[in-house]
Amino acid sequence: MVAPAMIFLSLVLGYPLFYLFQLALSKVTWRPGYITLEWVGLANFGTLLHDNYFWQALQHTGHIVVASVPISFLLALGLALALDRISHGRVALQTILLFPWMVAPALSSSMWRWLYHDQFGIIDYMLKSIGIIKDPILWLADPRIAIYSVIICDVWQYTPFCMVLLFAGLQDIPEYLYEAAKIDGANAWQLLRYITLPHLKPLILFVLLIRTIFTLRIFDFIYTLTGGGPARSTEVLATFLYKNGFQYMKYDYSAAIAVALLCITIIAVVGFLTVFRQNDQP
Amino acid sequence: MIKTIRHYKINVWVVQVLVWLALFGYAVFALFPVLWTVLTSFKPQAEVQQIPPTWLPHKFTLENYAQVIQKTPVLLSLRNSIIIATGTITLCLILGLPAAYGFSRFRFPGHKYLLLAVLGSRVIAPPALVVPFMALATRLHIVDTFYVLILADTYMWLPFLIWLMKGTFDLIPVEIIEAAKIDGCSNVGIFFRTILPLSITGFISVMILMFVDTWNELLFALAFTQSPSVKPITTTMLNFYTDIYTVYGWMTAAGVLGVIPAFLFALFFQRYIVKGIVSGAVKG
Repeated sequence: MVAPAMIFLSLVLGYPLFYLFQLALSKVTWRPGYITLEWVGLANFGTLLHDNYFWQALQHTGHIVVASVPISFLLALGLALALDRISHGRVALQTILLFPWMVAPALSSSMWRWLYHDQFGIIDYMLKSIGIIKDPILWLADPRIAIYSVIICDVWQYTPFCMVLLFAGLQDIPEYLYEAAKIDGANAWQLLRYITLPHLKPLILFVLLIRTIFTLRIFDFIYTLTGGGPARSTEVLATFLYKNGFQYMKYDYSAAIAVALLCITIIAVVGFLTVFRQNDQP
Repeated sequence: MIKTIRHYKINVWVVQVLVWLALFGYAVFALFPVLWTVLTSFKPQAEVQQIPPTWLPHKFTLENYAQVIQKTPVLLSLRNSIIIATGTITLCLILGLPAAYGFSRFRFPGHKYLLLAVLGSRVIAPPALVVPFMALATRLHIVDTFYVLILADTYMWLPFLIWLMKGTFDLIPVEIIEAAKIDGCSNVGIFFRTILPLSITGFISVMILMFVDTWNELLFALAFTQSPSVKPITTTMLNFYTDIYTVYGWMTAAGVLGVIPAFLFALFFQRYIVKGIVSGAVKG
């Protein structure tokens, strides 16, 4: 029963993966109609290590991960705890809060582009009318600001999903634990610290891990909002890789970036799991 | 009402109101971009680019929608998106459900490693696979067809499906299966008559997740499709962004049209996903 799925996965995944490594270790000569591969060993990775654009893209990716993952996680945790505590309108609020998750990043970036517009954008208009700024903020055109605009969108998009997961986990915690702790005189903070958080721990790990993996490969928002610009200020690994492969037709180099991205993801996942395992044994 | 409030919850009404206000504040942030887009889509072009902007459309018009439907391939793209999403879900279910059941019920040599490999395969980022996928698709002569997107999206979701459904199947007590066996049910019969009905919550939640995610997929569509008869809505949307001249009325109207199907599908989310995904993902 497991076989059909395994055969499918190994075909759809196995061959491309093999080809990816082959490309990464070769020099590709591309002519319309055919392609020749010439073995060059690790030469592509040598180029990669000396490519400033690669390090830039890595730095931007890291910047987005470090900002977006914790912010959206904390927001989601706060929202989930709040949702768990209110007595009225919970379902309605949950539906509204969940909305950004349903909107495709490619579509929501059309919304954000319109909100961020430097002439007719509503955000700049509101900030101006309450007197915070005089000149419009160029949300997507200013190289110093664009990456934060992207982070705002990313947080907006992915907080709801984390919230739902955490909320579901909260509802699974048995009631009697809280009652027992209250009888023992625990205050609200102690309830959170010694009952809620320990019970949520596997879920928290899951949410953080998934968010980190997915943010490391962030593509949709960058491509549709800024295209990596202005002046490469929002270029991330995924867009860098895509451009090299599909716009500059450097298949070999693109494959090398892909392998680097793969290694970075694996390092992140392993690092993550190790840290959490260590915390498990006090 | 009182029943739903747990004991540890703060029952002072002042605190309740404060918590509620905080949630409401975030809800405004969550909803505002969507709301503003919907409002813009109903304004005539002149009013869209008016300073100061109007909140509600002064002159309510459906002109943007009419124009977008007539002059751009938005409807065609919506159809394509539906075909791609349905195809992906079908293929995933055909391959994934038996696999999840197999992983859940039977122990075979290498069982653990195989499951780990299935999960681990998702560590590979989709952007990394775009170029090799393209090579594979070229060899199979399926570039710029629905097949290539369905295959690629299936790769994205199959591991998740197997993982989540295995978790759901694991929760079903063995006694029920044993009882069905004694009553003379075949393995296939057991699957369809007892396992599937018992795990319907997890099943539906996975379906919704898959639909929304496939609907929202951009990268593969961007790389593998060009013709309007195949392109899904996510890539068609990009045609509206030009640096020189963007008709924001059209763009917002197309955006609204593109969101509606996923939204309708996901309204079911409320009821099913919370329990479905947690039992599948975390306990599994």
